[in-house]
Amino acid sequence: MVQIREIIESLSLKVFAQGQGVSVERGYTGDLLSLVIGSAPSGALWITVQRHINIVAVAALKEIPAILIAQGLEPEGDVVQKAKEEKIWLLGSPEDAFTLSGKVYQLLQGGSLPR
Amino acid sequence: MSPSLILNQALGLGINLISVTDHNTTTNSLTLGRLALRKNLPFFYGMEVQTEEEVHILVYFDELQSFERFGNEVYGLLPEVKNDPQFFGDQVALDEEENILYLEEKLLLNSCAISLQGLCSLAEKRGGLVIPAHVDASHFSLLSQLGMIPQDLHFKALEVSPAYLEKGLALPQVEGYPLLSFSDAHYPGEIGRATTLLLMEKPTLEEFRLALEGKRGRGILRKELRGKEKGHG
Repeated sequence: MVQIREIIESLSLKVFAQGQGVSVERGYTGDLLSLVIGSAPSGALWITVQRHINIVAVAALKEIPAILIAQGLEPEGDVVQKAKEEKIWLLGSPEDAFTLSGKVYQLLQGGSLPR
Repeated sequence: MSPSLILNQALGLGINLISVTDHNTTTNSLTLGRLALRKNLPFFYGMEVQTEEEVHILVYFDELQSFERFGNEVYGLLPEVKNDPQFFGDQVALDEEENILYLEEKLLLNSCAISLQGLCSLAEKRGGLVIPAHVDASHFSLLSQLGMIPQDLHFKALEVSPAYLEKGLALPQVEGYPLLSFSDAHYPGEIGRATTLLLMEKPTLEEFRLALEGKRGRGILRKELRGKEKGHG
């Protein structure tokens, strides 16, 4: 269990939209919404390269408190507003999904990242 | 946005060939068909199917039984995940008088358990015409999901979104393909925002195929954005 703010700080994530003060104990990496709908665990930090409006609806549906958009991609137009309304963290990082997954995984395992 | 509203709007706009392509379902398209027959407005049956790659593909039919059969098969390929009306709204099937026939319980905003290749084969086997939807769109399109138009599927034409016409785009990936553009209306006001004028002897799927191939004098004349004319051929 790691506080979302700790993850944001450790990974120097960009914050597009602020969500609720939650602690995260799981992660999920995937870009096919149908798979997220089918198998993402609730409470997970979702790492994806998708950045369109439907990601917020899917996150809300699956009780995903935070979406981390990888590879320096930015959320499309109205996505930020929607995330704010749903109180879901919308985060970004220039690093790719593989690297981010590894780092988040390490943090969630109770490890710390090399400085 | 009921089939009857769509029909009346289309008639008012002077559209003379219409298709309602609901997401992964046939019911409203069937209703539109019955209404169109009453008013003598040419139409095609159709669906927009989402493959497992999350690509949207339009499939058109002009024969009722084939359409219904295909529709049932596609429905069977949708996972047993229920809709959540709070997030996705009610999935309403309407009749000609705008009465609710039923509320679809399975989430239609999902991928069918079939690949792009599998879907194209199935559609063709059932007599449908396959046209990839909004290939230029930032999601649920061939270009967003695969980064390319797969040559080995030999698409007869590609649909581009109204925005593609508006911006006057010319993507290199679609070169060599006949391009079509339709309203892709999700709201009444969007109906007719983009249309494609086809030269055909009659409004049948066979004629449509000939028009896409530019054979025997049939063809795609032009695409039009409401208020402007864009893109010959």
